[in-house]
Amino acid sequence: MSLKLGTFPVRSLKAGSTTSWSDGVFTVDIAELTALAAETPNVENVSIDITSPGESSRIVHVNDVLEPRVKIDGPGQVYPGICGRPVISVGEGVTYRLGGLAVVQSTMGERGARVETTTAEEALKLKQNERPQDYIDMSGPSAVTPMASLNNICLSVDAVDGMGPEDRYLATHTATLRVVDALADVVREMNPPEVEDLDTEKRDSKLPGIVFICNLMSMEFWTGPDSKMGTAVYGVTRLSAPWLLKPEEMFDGAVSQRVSWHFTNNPLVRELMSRHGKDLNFLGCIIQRTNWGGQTEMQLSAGRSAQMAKMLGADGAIITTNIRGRRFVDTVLGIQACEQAGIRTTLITEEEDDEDGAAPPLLVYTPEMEAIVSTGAGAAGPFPPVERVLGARNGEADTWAGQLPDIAGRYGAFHMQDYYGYGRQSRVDH
Amino acid sequence: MAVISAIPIVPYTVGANRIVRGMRIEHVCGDPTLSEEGDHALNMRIVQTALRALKTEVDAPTIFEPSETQAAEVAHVS
Repeated sequence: MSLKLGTFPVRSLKAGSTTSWSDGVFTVDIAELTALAAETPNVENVSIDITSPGESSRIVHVNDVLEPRVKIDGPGQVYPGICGRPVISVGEGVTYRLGGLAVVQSTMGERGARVETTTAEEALKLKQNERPQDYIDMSGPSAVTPMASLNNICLSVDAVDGMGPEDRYLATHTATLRVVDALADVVREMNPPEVEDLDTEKRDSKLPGIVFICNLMSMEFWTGPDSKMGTAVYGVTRLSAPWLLKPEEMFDGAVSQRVSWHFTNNPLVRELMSRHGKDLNFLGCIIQRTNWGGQTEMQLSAGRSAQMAKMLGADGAIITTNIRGRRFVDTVLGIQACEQAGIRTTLITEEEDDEDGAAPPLLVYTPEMEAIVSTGAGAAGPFPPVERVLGARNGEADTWAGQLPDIAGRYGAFHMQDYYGYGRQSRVDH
Repeated sequence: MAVISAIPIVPYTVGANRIVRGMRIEHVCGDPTLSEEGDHALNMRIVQTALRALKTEVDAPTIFEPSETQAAEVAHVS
């Protein structure tokens, strides 16, 4: 069973009286969409604004970025398991996408129980090792993330006062999905200009087998095992044994949240998929959850990933990580386990802040780590003033519009990190 | 010197010579899921392993296991 992925490219975005797609131009009825989002129970401060690549603009309080997709045929629904959506396995049939368009959810103070978005005042005071910032610059030195090259519909939405973090998350993310679904729905009855036939079930036994091992942090330590907040697999965020996904499932949003766009449009998944049957067999995506409490658990999880890859017949694995600190140890142990099982690995990772030359580029390393692709890191900034701010609250727009400071330290320039090799961030390499 | 760590690979990477495997990052020298007596016994075993490590000559980073069923010292990373 294959997945036919139909793309409606969005080359420009404008406001208008009817939400529609025509020949690469997406028109959005802002009033209608705002009303749709505002009907969601328990939300307030709902507004929508749009921005395109190259503009002097900054989107703040970013919680998630989602590409509108819709299932036309086949089981399940895109972004499964999120906000009560069904958990039926996806990745088969027909899916349409609005390529180059994204919905950016801008929400105050709720990105999980621990990591909250920063106010403009806090952002200006941010120094080393303090909280990460969550903003997207559409031009200038930090416009190197893929989000800066998208036509973005910024949905500002907050939860009403007095609810707990899970309720607030559910309310605001539900409003976001309503908008995402409504946008994708406008192309439901149309014929996509581009169609890709994704099918990893057909394999050529002469070609090497490759798996993608994607290490993703779980916030269970802070939010508990049943939390819906943070990066999820079919809506599940808890620390678990590794998940095995058919690559096609990624294109239907089986992994989402924090920044959903990274998973539906993952450059490694796309590249491996495009080379499937040509010079490799793309055997699967292993999602290894990280942030375990100690090395014993990390090693167990890493060992399971390697065993899974081996049983799939993998000759090689591309391994990524998604946050620094102890989470990186899980990743390294996975590399070690794979190499010891005879699976050659390539790690793609950022480097740590070098603390003015005092610190090594990686927290830990083992002799098995022979092939590493660095995506850069370290200090970056300052980030020059912008003309327009999207998603600002309560008169803070002027502060956000100003120059934002250099960022260095434990988590680096958080808002412009590159875990998957988008490859546009060499300017902040050491 | 001996270092007790829930992630021994980190002190190993920076060349610490005597490393004792601890429990978890949140409770390196004990286990709050055990009874008070069990937690204390585990705590004592880990600290005694650290004392044993201090008395042991090593010529490379060595991991000392506090497990009662695995007494051997190992000099590998995991």
